[in-house]
Amino acid sequence: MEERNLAQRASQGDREAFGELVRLHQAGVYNTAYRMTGNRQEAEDTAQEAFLRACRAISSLDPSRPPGPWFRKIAVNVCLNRLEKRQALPLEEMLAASTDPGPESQTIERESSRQVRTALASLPPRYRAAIELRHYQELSYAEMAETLGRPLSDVKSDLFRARKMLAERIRIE
Amino acid sequence: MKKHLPEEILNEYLDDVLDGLARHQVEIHLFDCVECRAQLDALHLVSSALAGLDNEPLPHNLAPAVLAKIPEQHTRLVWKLVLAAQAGIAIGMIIILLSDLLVWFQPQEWLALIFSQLASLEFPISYPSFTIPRLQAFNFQVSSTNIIFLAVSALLLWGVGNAILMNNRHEVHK
Ligand SMILES: [Zn+2]
Repeated sequence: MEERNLAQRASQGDREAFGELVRLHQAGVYNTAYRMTGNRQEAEDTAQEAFLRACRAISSLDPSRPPGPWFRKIAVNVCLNRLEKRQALPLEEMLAASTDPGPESQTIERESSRQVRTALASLPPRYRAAIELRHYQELSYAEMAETLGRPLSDVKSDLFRARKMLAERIRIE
Repeated sequence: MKKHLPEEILNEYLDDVLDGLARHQVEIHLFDCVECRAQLDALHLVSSALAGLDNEPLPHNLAPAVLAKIPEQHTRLVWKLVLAAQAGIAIGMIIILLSDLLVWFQPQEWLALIFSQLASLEFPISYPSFTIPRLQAFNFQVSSTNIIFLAVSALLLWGVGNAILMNNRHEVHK
């Protein structure tokens, strides 16, 4: 079935159509979450939470536009909320609650990919969000500011600092 | 001492958001500044490293778990029915009230008066007589209770509608 038709039905509360959209976009949303969290289990939980949040906000989905970017923007905000909430915990609680041992290495991943994931996971959450939205979602500065609900100047500064940090860390590794 | 390109300008050059003139000025500076070129190269390296990141295969289908957590359709349906019933009552009341008001204002007499005046102008048209039947079954009176009931219905509809809208906005903008 055509995606626009699915989005139309889902936006009117059709559960089955929403399920079909989840199947179509789960890989993109999961990868967004994995790049931001650096942990597979966390990425899976976050992706599920993002879809549930999307479902609650489904009436704001514009069926005339592709739903993929809409899902992934929600996923970035869900990841950011989770990462920042964890940062706000006192250190001991944070260590207890943390399930994030950095990018996993059990499965075979190219060394270059593993390096990039390690560098990404070392960035503050806001910087990860800026990198995700600019480099993977390919949003403009203005769209990034709108997605994150923050001033344009802050978002640009986060992006530039994030790149600088990555340049240092990817070069060293 | 030579003034180097600010970091912001280098980043904006990388993102291709500079206008023609600014872009040209950056390129002139880059042409004979090794340090700025090295900085830009580092940014390009970051960009290509990010672009080269492998996609991670999905561990399993997430849809069943997501759908299992979505409340069943009937919850929404009940809400829709409540809203529809409320709207129905409000609209019904308005119709009854209007029919009562029409009788109260006696529009037939007003119309008759207007028609007779028009007739005296000797238009070559005749106007058929008609009446608006009063809804006898509902002896609805224009009372303060009715007006309060309608106002409360309207306010509830407005409140529920806005609450739903605000809730959705909140979800999207985190
Ligand atoms: Zn320079």
